[in-house]
This record gives sequence, C-alpha cells and structure tokens, in this order.
Amino acid sequence: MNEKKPSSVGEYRVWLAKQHKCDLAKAKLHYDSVTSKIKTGLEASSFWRDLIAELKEFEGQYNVATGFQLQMTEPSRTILIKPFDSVLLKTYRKNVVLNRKWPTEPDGGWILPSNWFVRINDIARTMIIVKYLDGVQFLVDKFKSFCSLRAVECRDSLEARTDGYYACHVYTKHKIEIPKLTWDTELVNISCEIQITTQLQENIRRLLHNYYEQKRERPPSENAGWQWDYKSDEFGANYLGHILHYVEGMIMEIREKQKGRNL
Amino acid sequence: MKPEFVEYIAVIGVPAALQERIAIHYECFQAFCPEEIGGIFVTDYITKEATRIYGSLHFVSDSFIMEAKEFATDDHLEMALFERPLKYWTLRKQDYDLKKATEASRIYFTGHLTENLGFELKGSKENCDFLRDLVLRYFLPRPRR
Repeated sequence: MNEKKPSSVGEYRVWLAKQHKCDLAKAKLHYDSVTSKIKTGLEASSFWRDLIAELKEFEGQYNVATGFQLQMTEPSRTILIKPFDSVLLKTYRKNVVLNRKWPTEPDGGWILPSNWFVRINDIARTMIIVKYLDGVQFLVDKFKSFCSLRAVECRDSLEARTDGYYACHVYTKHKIEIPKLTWDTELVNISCEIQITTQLQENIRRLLHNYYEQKRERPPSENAGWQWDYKSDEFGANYLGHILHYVEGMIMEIREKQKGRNL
Repeated sequence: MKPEFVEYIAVIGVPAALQERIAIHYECFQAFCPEEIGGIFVTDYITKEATRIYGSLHFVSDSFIMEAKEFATDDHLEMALFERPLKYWTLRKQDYDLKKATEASRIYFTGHLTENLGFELKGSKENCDFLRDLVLRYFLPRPRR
C-alpha cells in the first residue's frame, strides 16, 4: 500500500510524529534555545563585528569607484533567525512536496530535528540592500575576499528564478557549540545566509511576502502554467519581479553612459 | 528578592552581573503574577571546556510558570497557566540517583501544558537537586496524606 503523502503542513506534522517519532513541541523548545545561542554567538563573533565595520569601508570603495552610494541604509547589526514554523514549512517542501523519491527519503536524507541545524542553510540570516544592480556583485566579491582572509568557508549563489526573484545569497559557515536536546553541547557547522538584493527587489518582496509564503505550501504542480494565466496572482507578481530587474539594468546603463559623458 | 532565591543562585554559581538581571526579572514577574512566586530555576548546561552556561530563568507559583528566555541579555518574558499535576511530563537523567547530585549529574525535564505548548528545564551538577525539588513541589501529584 502506498504511504499517503501529507497534503498540508498539518498532515506533515502528524506524519513526522508517526514516521519519525518527532515530538514537535520538544523540538520547538530545543529550536528556540539553540537558535538563541546561534544568534548571540554569531553577533558576538569577531567575524561579524569585523564584517559590520568593513561594510563601511566597502561603502567608501564603491563610492570612489562609481560616485554613487552602495547601500540603502546602515547595515543591520542583528542576525535574524528563521521562525520555527518557517523551518517546518521548509522541511515539508524538501521532504515531501519536492521529494521525487517519495515515499523514500530525498537526496541527502530526511531533514529532521536531529539534523536540521546543519541541513538548513538559512536558519541564521541577514539582508543587505544595495541601491544599484552592480552593488550586488561588488559586495559578493568583497565578501569572498573578506572570508578568504579569515579562513571562513564562503559560497555564493546568484539567484535568478522564473518567479521573478533576483538576489545573491552568500553562505558563510561557522562552528558553533550548541546545547543538545538533553544536556551538554555539540559542535556543529552552522550556515549563515547573507541576502544581497536591490532596493526595488526588496520593495516587491515586502509587498508580496504573504503571497510567497502561501505559494511555498502548495505543490509545484499548482504553481505551473502561470505564464499563460494572466488572471492569476502569479502572473502579475512574477512578471513584476522580472520587469523590475530589467528596469534596474536600464538604470545601470544610463548611469554608465552618464559616467562616460562626464569623463 | 527572596533570601532562598538569593541562596539558590549563589549555590549554582551565577555571577553577580547575572544575579542583578535575575532580580530585575523577578520584579517584573512579581508585577504580573497574581500569586506568590515560590519557585525559581535557572537552566544550565556544561560546555566541552567545562564552562557552565546559564540559559533560561524560570519562576513558578502554584498556577503559573514564568520564563525569561536568555535572561542575561534579553527582556523576553513568557507566562503560562498550568494545572497540577501536569498531564504529561518527561524526565531524562544521567549519573543522578534523584537523591544527591554529583559533578557528573545531568537532568532534563519537559512539561507539556497543551498540544503545542510546553517548557523544558535542564540542570547540571547540584542544580539537579533543585530541579528535583521544584518538580516534586509544583508539577507532580500532591502527596496523599
């Protein structure tokens, strides 16, 4: 008999409890105490403090190179932690919705409370908003050099998705001692995600935040075919993201041409 | 703060700066709790370098359990109503006979209040004895006369 695939997060919670003996109430308590440690650990680290200070230097370097301001606002000094429900939703997507091998485990194995601090790469994250499109790659290059000098593992991923999402995600790895579920501690490699995006993209993300959350809960098949369904929410929202990215490219062209004329 | 609370946090080695934070949180909870706060517990665990780390601060009255998460740095307070005895609890322990704690003793207690709400208390070394007493006094069935 085929195992019934959970069709909602509610059913997924039941499935986790039955199939993997997960006590989600306990898992949430543990999640809160561990992420609290991750947040304070990262924010107090010399890596983070130096990075915040270095962002000011990057600002100056960009200004000298282009004559324009790099960042929209002062960089945030705080690390954001992904809410427990969002983590659960993410594991639902990876374990069930996007798992082509269902009912067997997906590539890399099931993502469960016992391993999700290592398997999920954006539990700790922050966002940097730049004014211009070229600021994204500028910052990515600076981050990579910064991490390299400090022997911190770093990788980047330039996101350009069909749903109109454009940003660069930089992932840094940090060894942090976290409390185990019961007592004592363990050393784990925690990933911190730094999202670098532009001012216009960040605006659209804020406006459509609820829409993106609902979309993540639906199976991919329900989101397919939107490119021809001009009445659907996806059509407007997704193409707006693409249009804005194009507009930002046009802004860069004008800026470069102006610079050329001024030389 | 109550003398027994002051004695407790001294016994488990809470530094002076954190003791001040505990006093501040106690005053906050006193303002919110309609009952006398009779119990206190500071969760702690030991790192690989044998350093003692203090986690959450809990206060307990006959009907309420209160928590100051990351009490050293944050003002994040939570309070929940509970009924004695707790409908469901779990306890795990290591090198602890529930009589007298040693340096190696560890204890982990979770109490379930509703399907999605619960609390956890963990203690190391002599803190295990304090957790035992707290659990017996507030969360388990009252002893029959």
